[in-house]
Amino acid sequence: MPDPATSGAATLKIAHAVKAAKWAWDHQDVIEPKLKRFYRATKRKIFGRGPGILVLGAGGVGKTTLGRILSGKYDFLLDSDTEYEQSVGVQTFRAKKTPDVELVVAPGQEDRRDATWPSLLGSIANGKELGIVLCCADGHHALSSTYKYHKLYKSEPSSFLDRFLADRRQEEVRILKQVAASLLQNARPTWLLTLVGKEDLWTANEQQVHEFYRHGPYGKAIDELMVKKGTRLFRHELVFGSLIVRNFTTGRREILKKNTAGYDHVRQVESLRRIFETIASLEDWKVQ
Amino acid sequence: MAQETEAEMFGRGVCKLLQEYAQKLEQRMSEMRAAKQAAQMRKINFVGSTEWQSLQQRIGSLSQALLTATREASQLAEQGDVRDLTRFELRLRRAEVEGLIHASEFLLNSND
Repeated sequence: MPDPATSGAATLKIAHAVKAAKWAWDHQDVIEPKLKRFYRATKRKIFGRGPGILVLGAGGVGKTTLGRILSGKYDFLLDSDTEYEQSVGVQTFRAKKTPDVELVVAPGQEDRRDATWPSLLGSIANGKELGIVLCCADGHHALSSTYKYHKLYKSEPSSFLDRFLADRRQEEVRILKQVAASLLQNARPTWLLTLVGKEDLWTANEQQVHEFYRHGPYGKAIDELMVKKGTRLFRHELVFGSLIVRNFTTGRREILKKNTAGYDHVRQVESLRRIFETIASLEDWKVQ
Repeated sequence: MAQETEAEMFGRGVCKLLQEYAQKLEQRMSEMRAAKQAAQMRKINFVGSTEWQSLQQRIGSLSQALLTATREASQLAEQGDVRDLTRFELRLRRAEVEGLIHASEFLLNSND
């Protein structure tokens, strides 16, 4: 037979539990949002921002596409047909193969850079990032508006594309110099990967493009950085490829340039492999 | 006087639209806040109600359309053939609208 004293205490405990459950049920409108807030705060603490990989570059070079491909969120069947959409804010992805590393993709439009880049460049300067992927595209930066509204169009429409590409290449060098300034302040080992994408659009001029990034204005800026940083604290890799294969079009579906004939799926897959392998090798360098 | 470029006309049109629809978005957000407050006073669950769904849809669709317009504004401000003052206004309007869109997302996602 149960001990009356113990049995009484147990009944009291059950009564309290029932009372608490009833109160919780009656006040679920109040409790639920508080619990959700608590959960969100805990989640932030656990999965909070640690050292990651920054993906930088001008607007329309393919940063978001890279983030989505590396995190396994890009659907090659459905997403290839969508038009270019500027990213408004900083986006974060987790690499499929290394989910502990966060990919932080910054918006590339000049006026959005002003609001978001200073803190990211600050984290490079403070050595808080593992590495940086600097996306370039030999100037083939997607336009969301019509090219006819571009400041370079009016004066000489026939040579617009050449002047536009040259202007955007200069912008790529300007961005590299901005990133280099932060890297120079960084006392910790950090890698930089220059990913020159949209190979399917410029492969016919391959020699010139490679020259620009290896020994031209871009390459020279990298050499300067290498000399100042030294190989112990800095590693740079250059990789050429195509994340997706498509014509160079504006957000209004105007074709500015068709992709190079002969640049097929096999070449694209090879280039993707090169990109993935390079990123993996850079991650290993950090671990050593 | 120099002839106004097509980009300039378009840019000023975008500014005007951003201004007009930012006000509409603000108005819908106020409606949402008022409806939330009224529901809280009556101690009824607002999130998920028909009224909430209707307001959520109206705010969501307007935000989406505004976002497309801010992308145009951003592109024009950066590389468009527009006057300096228009460039400046495009930047301001874009920043204002994107801030509002962000606030509307916060409003839609908060369960208070």
